Amino acid sequence: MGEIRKKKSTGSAARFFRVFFSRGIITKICFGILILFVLIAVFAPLICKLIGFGPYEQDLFNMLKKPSSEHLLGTDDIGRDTLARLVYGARVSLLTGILSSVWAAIVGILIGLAAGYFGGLLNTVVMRITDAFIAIPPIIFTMVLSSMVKGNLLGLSLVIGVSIMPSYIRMVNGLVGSLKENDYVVAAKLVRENDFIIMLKHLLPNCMASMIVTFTMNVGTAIMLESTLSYLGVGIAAPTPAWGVMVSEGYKYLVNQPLVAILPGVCIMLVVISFNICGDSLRDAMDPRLRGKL
Amino acid sequence: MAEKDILLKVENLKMYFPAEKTLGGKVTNWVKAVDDVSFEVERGKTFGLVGESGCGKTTTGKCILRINNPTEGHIYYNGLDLATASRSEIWNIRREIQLIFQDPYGSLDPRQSCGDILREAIVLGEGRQSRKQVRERVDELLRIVELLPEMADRYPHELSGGQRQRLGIARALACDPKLIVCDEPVSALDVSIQAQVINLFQKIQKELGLTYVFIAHDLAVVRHIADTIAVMYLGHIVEIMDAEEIFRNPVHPYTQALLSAVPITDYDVERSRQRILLEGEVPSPLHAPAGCPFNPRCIYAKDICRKEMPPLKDMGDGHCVACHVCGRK
Repeated sequence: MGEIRKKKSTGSAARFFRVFFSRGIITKICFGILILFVLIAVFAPLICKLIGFGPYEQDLFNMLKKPSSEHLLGTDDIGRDTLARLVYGARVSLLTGILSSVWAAIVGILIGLAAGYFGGLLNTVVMRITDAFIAIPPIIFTMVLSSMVKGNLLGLSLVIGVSIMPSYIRMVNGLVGSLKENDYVVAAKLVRENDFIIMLKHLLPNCMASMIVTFTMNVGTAIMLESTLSYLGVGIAAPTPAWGVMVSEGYKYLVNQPLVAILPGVCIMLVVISFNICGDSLRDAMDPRLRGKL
Repeated sequence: MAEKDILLKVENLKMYFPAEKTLGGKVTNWVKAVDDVSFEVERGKTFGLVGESGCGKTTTGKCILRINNPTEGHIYYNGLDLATASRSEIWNIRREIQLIFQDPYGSLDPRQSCGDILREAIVLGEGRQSRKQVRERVDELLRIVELLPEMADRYPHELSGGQRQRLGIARALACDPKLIVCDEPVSALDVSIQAQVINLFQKIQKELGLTYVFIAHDLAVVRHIADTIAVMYLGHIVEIMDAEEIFRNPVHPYTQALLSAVPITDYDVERSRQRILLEGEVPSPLHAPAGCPFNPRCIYAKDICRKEMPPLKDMGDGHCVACHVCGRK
């Protein structure tokens, strides 16, 4: 018997990854892409040292050049190395994307949980305010607010976080509203569990599946939003190499040197798609009902 | 006769739910889920509550647990009136009254392992317990409900219906309850498992001296476990009697009809007996009939039945019937 218990506990991580990757080759590729981008972001200075160019370094003799042995992915209009800027851009984009989703998730989930669980007036007030937030288009909302934070990365992530928070509040609120009717919530009350523990121990884990999908989708949305804002000139301030900034600066030279604008666009796309697909697999892997089946 | 040791006494319990409201929030129509129900439960005994779906059995149970706040009436538990008790008074006795749920699927958190479910209930009890004590208690509870100790590592979805229901019983027992309300605990299980679980209920009662309020719609099940049986119809108790009495001498026409719906295993008896088939449907509790709630379907119904609600009359030996016609015999 002791043997069985031991085997189970050591095998849980292995089971987790087995389910995680059980959706086939796509998940593996996407997971690989995410790891790759994270590594690139973390080791950006090292990579730039290897290429020999920094993200701000101008090479005025080589402007809008095609890929060559010197500039692996070519250069932009003022002779900055595209690869070096992409590498540093990964830092900015991933950081704003993940940070803003984390802010939104923490605050949104807590508000949604409390409003959904306690219901009544609290629920009505919170949900009407949320509706009002949703009514404002996120682009306009963030454009107005981001003019106040002036290109600051942390500030921008907060602004984007606030704009995607309503989706969490809505989602958790709806889920909790139905989950709290379950008998196991009544059972928990009968053994004298307090309300906050019930929310965190019973309701939150049961919302987790949808939350993970929302989270990964929102990371994608946040990266897109950051890129859009940067493209429009109110996000990350210009010389900083963000992917959105690169697209906005590069699209003017789409005919002469398309790589400058297309490459950051492709990076945005890859990261967003990878986050979404990994999110689906993560949801499966965290569900005890699916563990050991697939 | 010696003084009865009453653990739970329900007096004139009423539970109305608002059904229709005007724009101003004034309630114009009520669903009378439980309407003037009174009964007593002796300590260490089992009180069976039978009736068809929607007759208010579960609502009565939920009122005893104060999951629902009764509209009117009293529920005395050990001298404390649960119907009017404050939150802190309820909090004090919360763990003494437990509920076994009808649905063994919805009553266990799918994200918690069975061990965690029991641990949660144990840890919240009086006094601090060491990890070792908690683990021993989990094993002990699993043993009481006849589950293997390995089950502690399983998740609810890996268990069968019967095993889940046993786990639900174990969770209730983890609180050291005195009174357990069993809300159709076996109706979701198949027949062979039903018998096992019912025997388990009886075994636990004998060992721990528990009192049950056993809600069911199956007379055969209730007969097996209950000491006293109350038959409910549309929010009213129509007959209360000893479990033996219900098969020997059912008086109320509804009880008779219920009994005749219970299959008999003896083929010849089954063939030869006369069945009482009830006409029509149970009236909606929104538009309950005037007088006796059973009068539209009753074969003996007279004028008085359509006008006046019959009171619960004692016919001796604690056998009470609410009927104008049959009570007279």
